Amino acid sequence: MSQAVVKVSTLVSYLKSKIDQDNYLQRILVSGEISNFVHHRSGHWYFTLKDEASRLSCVMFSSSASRSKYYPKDGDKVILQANTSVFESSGQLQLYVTGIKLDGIGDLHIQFELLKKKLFEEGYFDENHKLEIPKYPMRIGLITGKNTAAREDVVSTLARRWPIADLVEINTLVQGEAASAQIIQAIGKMEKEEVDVLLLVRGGGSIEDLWAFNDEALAKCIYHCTIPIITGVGHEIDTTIVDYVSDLRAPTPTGACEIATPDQEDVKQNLALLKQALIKQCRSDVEFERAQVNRFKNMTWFISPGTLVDQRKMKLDYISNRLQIVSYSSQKKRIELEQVSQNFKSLVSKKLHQVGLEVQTKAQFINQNVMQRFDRENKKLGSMIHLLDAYSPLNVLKRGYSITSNSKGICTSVKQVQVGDELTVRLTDGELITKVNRKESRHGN
Amino acid sequence: MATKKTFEQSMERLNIIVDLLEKNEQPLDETIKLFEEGLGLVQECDKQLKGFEKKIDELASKKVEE
Repeated sequence: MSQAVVKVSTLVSYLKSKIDQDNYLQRILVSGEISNFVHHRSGHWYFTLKDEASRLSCVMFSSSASRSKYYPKDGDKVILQANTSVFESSGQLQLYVTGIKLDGIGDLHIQFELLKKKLFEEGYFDENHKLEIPKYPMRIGLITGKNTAAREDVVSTLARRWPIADLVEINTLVQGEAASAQIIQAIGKMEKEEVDVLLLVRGGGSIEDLWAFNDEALAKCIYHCTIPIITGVGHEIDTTIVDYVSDLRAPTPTGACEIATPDQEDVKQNLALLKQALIKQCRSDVEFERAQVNRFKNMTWFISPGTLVDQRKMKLDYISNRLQIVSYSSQKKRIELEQVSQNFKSLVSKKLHQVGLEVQTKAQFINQNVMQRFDRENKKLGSMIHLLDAYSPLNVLKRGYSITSNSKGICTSVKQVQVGDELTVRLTDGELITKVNRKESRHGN
Repeated sequence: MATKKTFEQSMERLNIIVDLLEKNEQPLDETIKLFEEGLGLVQECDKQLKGFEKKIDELASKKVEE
């Protein structure tokens, strides 16, 4: 056998160090039932923790035992907080108990889970309903217990991070029957105070201690509160109903304050950066405008305003040039016109002359013709007159004939005349007005 | 021009004046009026800009109060 032989004390010592160094065996929570409880006169408590299958000896030194609110008795079901180690004298595995409490929480756990399920189903934990936490709150509400460590944590964190904000504090009970009603009232007051954000905090404790924060009415009040609420109840591991319903859940009171506030150092740094950026931006804006103004300044007209008039002068020259051209061309047109009118005139007068001659010849011809005809007709007329003269009744009258007429005309028969009629007898040199006295007809005619 | 123009307004007006002068369609006496106004505005803008630059320098050198 080449294997080394070790002394029992060496082995036990080795075992102890192994167990002591195992973190999984230190500060553990163990549940079981108490038996063989002994309160030694030194103040230490000795007992055995057992369940249906196993048992372990336990010791709780007077330093821890004296602080315990619970006094054990055989048969109690308990939860221990303990470190595991080996008692070297006996080589026995032992629990070194640092805390002990009755294991009565089973009931509350069930209640908690039921309420949580109910509120969840009713939509009280809805993420969409959660209010946004303001970035730079200037008025912060704090609801917590008077003179508690939680309050101190918040106040000191606020002083460090964001002292500029006003703190509005309402102290309430944070444990026991009346606590939740007081907290509900406090939230109502905070709404009237118009704070930007509200912290509801409490230090750690057992589930019984924190039970006020698992209240249904309080949960609904937080849900309907118009101010964003940050909760920081207990330590990291403790979760209460208000944590689910609040707008933000912080692990601790300090954490709640940290979430609610910006760090003033960060803000200052940020401000300095913003200031730099602002100045830079302003300068570049002004530079841009400067360039614009310089553009105007350097414009031709502003440097040599004469150009404005020059352009006009050029335009004037151009126009007068055009005018000259136009007047020249109009002169030309006039000459042309005169020429044309001259031509026209001579043409017309020539034509007139020609027509005049024609007229003259025609007139002469007509004249001649007419005169000849006139002569002829005149002669014809002379012979006619002569003839007519020969037949004229006037000549007959000269020879002693007369013409008798009554009112109806010339009378050629005695039958046309009645006795007593007035007759006119025309002689060659006048007329006789006569009256018929008697009528004698000549027969045979 | 009873009311004093802002920098922005002055620049806007200047742009309009320059456009008009460029087109050069208005009667000459109007051109001269525009020219006179434009020159005044350029000087005014220049003055204002100098004021801005000075103000920025002043503000930038100021310490943030603790």
